[in-house]
Amino acid sequence: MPSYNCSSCGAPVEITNRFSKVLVCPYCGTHHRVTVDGLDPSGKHPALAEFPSLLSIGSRGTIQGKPFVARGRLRYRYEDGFYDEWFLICDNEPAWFTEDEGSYTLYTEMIENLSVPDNLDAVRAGQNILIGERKIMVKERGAATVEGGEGELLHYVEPGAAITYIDGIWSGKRVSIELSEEEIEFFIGQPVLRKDIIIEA
Amino acid sequence: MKALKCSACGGDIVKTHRVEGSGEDEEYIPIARCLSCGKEYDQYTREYYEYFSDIFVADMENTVFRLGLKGELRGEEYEIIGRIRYQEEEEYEVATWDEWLAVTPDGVNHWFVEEEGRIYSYEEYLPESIDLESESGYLDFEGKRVSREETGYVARIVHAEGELPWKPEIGEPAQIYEFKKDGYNFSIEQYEDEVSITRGEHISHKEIIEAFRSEDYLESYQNTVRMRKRYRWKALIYMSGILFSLAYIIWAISAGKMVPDVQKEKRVVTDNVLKQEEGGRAYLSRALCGPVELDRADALYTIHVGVDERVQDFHLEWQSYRIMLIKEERLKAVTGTAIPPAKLQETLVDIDALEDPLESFVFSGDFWDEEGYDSDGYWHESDTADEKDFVLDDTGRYFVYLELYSQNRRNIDSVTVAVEKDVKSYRYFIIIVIIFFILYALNRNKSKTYNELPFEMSAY
Repeated sequence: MPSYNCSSCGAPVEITNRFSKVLVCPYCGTHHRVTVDGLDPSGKHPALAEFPSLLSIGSRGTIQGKPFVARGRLRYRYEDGFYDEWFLICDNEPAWFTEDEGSYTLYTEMIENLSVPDNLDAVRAGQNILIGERKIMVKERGAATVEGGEGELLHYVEPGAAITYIDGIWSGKRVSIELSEEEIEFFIGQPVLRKDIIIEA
Repeated sequence: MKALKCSACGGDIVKTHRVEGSGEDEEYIPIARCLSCGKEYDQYTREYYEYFSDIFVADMENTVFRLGLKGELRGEEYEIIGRIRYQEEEEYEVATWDEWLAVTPDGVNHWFVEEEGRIYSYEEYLPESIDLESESGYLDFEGKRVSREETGYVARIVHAEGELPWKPEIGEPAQIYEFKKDGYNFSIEQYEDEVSITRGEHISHKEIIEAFRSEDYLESYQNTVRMRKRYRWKALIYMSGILFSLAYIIWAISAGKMVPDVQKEKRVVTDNVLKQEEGGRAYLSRALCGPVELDRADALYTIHVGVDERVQDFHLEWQSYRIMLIKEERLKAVTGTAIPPAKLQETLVDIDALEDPLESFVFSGDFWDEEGYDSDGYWHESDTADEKDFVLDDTGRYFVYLELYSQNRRNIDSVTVAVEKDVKSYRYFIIIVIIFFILYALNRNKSKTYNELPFEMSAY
């Protein structure tokens, strides 16, 4: 994978994964978009505050028996605190791993360019929404702000950006929808028990 | 003490009642009222739960849990870190339960629900399918139609303490549906911004105490269980006594045999002769039935007498009866062997004046049929049957003498007399059943309520 120098501090940074679209300099916190021409800096943002997490950048292990490596993290701030989304390469495929209030979810299906209802940002908890052929029950709806990121990320979100998140249930699986000004992201995942997450020392 | 203030105008709040209904249905509904603007806050308002918070938290110590407890339960380590108390909105009397948040060393959340002396363990559940917007009366849950009316209610948060995954507001409402499926309890809690679905099962106090409170309560728990079992055994013994007594009573009721043909041979001695006396007038009839063989000495008999309305209606009138059992040989000694009618009549007319009583047994009473009006309206009552137990000293052949005084002329065949032999007395067994039932009820109650623990435990 290609190596670059951070446009802000000059430190050597390496993109280790072909799926990465954002690279955060581990030294100075500058966010870079990954383009065909190299790194495009979007700005320097404060490093994420230390917050107890199961994973860290570079963590390796298995989740439900599948090998993974943690490449990046996005942190969101919402009314009741923080939650993290980890960008993993799990079983050689990109995946998102979230930890929130002691529950873990591994999202392995990421669907883009879906047709969604027009009033998606006005849905209420308990309501059904139809996305594609999936009838999803909205479990929770709220607003969050991107606090920042680190490592390599699958998609680019500007720190400080506001998103609307909708958590739902479909066919015994967790569904996560994130609406921002720029895009709508749709993830399908399964809850993961702590005992199914093994992190190599 | 902080004064309660109206959320609308800031005025002082007073706790009072609102009267709803009238007469026997009158109810006193607790409310809070602002002395300034008059606004009322009842159980359907958020503020009500702040104003009346003291009553909902009066028994906070009546619980097996407390914050900070640590223990291992079913192979998992838990620490109790938070508590939320709920009140059912429809009940203006206290109807609360607690939900305790426990966390594992890995940070996984778990809920213990404590309600009416029972504990349930709940964790998050993801259904295969769920539709909370299906047809108005029902919701769909994994193919099961759940009635909203039968399973749903609104709960209000009345207290929160410790560490919780979100910030609960006092008075915050939640629509809750609780139902069973596949042996599990399911709970759907619907708030404004969130739906929570959990699956749970009953967990015994034994497991909880052994996991979290063995030092404090294990001995008291064991004593309580032992005593409850003892009371249950006693209740079972009394129930056995009741069942045995009832079986005996049923057998005794059916044990008797009717003496055949008591009225087969009937001699009518007097037939509706009008008698005028100081108290009024009545029609007198006399008849001698039998004789019949009564072959059990020192045994219990029952004589049955009653009006047969198939022969003649009995309506708004009275009739007095006297029945005597007269041994055949004693009657014949007085009247002669042939028992000539004239001599028989003479004997029966003067039967009360005889120096030596002729009868071995006598039994009298009244039949009546009445109606009237009172504060509840029209009433109609009657008593047209009777019976009496007796014991005969001598076996032998007996005549049944029937004497009737009637308000109206009545067919003498409208009064039936029957004699039952081999009767078993069960009167005392009825008393035994009553006493045993009281003892059974007391012991059964004790088997459920005896408690050396400082918190309610309805099942262990």
